[in-house]
Formats: sequence, C-alpha cells, structure tokens
Amino acid sequence: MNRFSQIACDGIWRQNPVLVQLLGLCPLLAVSTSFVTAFSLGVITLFVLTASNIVISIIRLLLHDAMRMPTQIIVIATFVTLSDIVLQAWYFELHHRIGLFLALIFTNCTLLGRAEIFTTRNPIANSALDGFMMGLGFLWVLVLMGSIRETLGSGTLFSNMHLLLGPIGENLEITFSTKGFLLLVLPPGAFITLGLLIASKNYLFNNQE
Amino acid sequence: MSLKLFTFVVLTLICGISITGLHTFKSEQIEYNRKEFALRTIKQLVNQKQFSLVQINDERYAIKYQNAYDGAVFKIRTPSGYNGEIILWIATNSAGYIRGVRVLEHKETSGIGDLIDIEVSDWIHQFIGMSLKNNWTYDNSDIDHVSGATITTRAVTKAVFDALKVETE
Repeated sequence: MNRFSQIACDGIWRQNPVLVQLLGLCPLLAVSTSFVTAFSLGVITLFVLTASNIVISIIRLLLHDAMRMPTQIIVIATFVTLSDIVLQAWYFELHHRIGLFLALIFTNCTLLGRAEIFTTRNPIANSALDGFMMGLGFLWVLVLMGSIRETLGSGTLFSNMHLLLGPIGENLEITFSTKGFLLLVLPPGAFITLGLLIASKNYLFNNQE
Repeated sequence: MSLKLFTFVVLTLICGISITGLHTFKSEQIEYNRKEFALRTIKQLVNQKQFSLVQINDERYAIKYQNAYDGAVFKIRTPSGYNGEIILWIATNSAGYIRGVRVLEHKETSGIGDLIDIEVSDWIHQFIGMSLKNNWTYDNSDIDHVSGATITTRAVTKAVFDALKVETE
C-alpha cells in the first residue's frame, strides 16, 4: 500500500478519529441529534481540519519549536472564526441552530491532535490529505449517528433540510412515526449510540486484523 | 531564533487581519440577516394581512394598521424556566388580546420542555386570542399545562400573564 492510500485508510477507517481514537466527542455528542446539524457541523469540521493542516504544514519549518502549540491554536481558531462569520452571512438560520456548537469545533481534539501528531512531521500534500481524510472519517460517523438518533429518537429523517438547501429542502422530510424513543435525543442517548457503534465495529471487524 | 519568532508574529497578524477583514466586509449582511430573522418571526406573530411595524427600540415594535395604533410586539424574559432564562416575543392588539406568542430562546430539556418551541409542538398557539379575562390561575386554567413540563409551561404562562397585565395597564 503506498503512502497516500495508507493515509486515506487511516483517516476513514483504521485510525478513525471517533471510532478508534475517540477524539472530538464533545461536538459529536452535542450536534448528532439530527441529520442536518450533524452534516453541517461535519462539513465545517472537514474544512477547518484540512485548511489548518495545510497552513500548519506550510509554516512548520519556519517556526521555533516552543511556538508550535500557540501557532496551531491560532491557526485553528482563525479558521473556526472565519467559518462562523461565513455561516452567519450566508446561512443565518442554520447558524441560529448550530451556532453554539460551531465554537465547539475548536475544542475538537482531532484538530489539535492531527496538527501535533501528523502535520508537524509531514510535507504539505500528505498533511492536506490527512486532514481531509480525518475530516471525512469524522463526518461519516457524525452523519451516521445523526441519522440513527433522528430516526429512532424523533421518528423523522432529513427534517429541516431547508436550512441547508433552501426552498428545495422543504419536502425532503421523511416521517416514520410521530412518537420517537426520547432517550436517544437526550445526551445519554448519544453515549449509548456511540458505544453501540464502537462495540459493533470491534465485534465485526477486529477478528480480521 | 529571532527570525523564527518573527514568523509567529507575522502569522498572528495575518490571522487577525483576515478575520477582521471578513467581518468588516460581511458585518452589514450579518446585521441584515439578524434583523430579517427577527422580523420574520414578528410578522408571523402579528397574524394579520396588512400592517406596518414601527420600531420603538430593539425590544419593542408598535403595530400600525391604517395609521392607527393597533397593539405592540415586545420581547420579555423570564428567569424561571427549568434550565434558565426563556426569552419570548409577545404580540398584542389594542383591545388587550394576544395575537401570538413565540419563544425566541430557551434552554429547556429537549424532548420534554422544548414543546414551547414552535418547531416542536403547537402548544404555544393556545395563547392566541387570550386576554386578562381568561382564567390564568393554575387550577382550572384555560392554558393546558403539560405534565412532565410543569415548570416550563408555568414559567411561560406566568411570564405572558405578567407582561399582558403590565401592557394593559
């Protein structure tokens, strides 16, 4: 396996930031109550992670070693703030819904973790790919959890898609039932769902390795 | 050493400039969005085809219909929600009847107390058309208090009642 496909495989599956490394649980548990919020926060995380990885990788050789952490924090904070402003300018209603958790992207350990572990030691192309793939790994677990929790917890799927797609999204909502299993929407439900996901991943796939 | 420290300073500067730049560039749009969002809620509340709004301050609009004063839309806060403050918009008409109530911000438990939110349930609609003549006490109330969400529904009801009383006087 060459270096690039190894990075891709690491990010999406083998070193998945959520299922294996258990990083970034705070935003994961907070926004995975519905598909829309999970998807939008996942995409923003993907963007911030890739962009910050690229920038940190570019300047890594020009930096004093003691300045590494502050630099990473500043770069990540900048991208989080920028995406916050962009969201406020173009997707205000969505921002109204997930704005509180947007700032939480910064507390996502995946970002600082990748910057520290991978980016400081690797060239730009590798870092960019790593950021993208780790973001993708975060995104698919987040979307899966959002879908599960929305389907079982509220009995709907794709509700409020107009926040993301505009008027086209109005009729995308699928209603399975009017009553949902309330526990899954509440915070403990997030832990239970995540626990079950990790357990099933380990049960199904660990034997092969 | 000094060159490497210099990189850090430059980087910080670039970050600062890019954030300030984008914010200055987009702040008008953001302010417009914020107003638009608030106004859309208010227009739904007024529940009437033709009217104009006169802004008195950030938390209060007067409703004008055919150049006559016909009630107001105003913001109220109550600290007695289950998890803290609840902020509401209330629209009244000149006769002291409620045109509508909408929850702007709340921290109630999702799945239980968030039924006051219009996106979750229609509970808040029962305030429409009520006035001080209705029964607002806890027993035999004209408002359907919800078991499990007693604190939340009582907080909202009391806040609306108090605001209506002040407004009518």
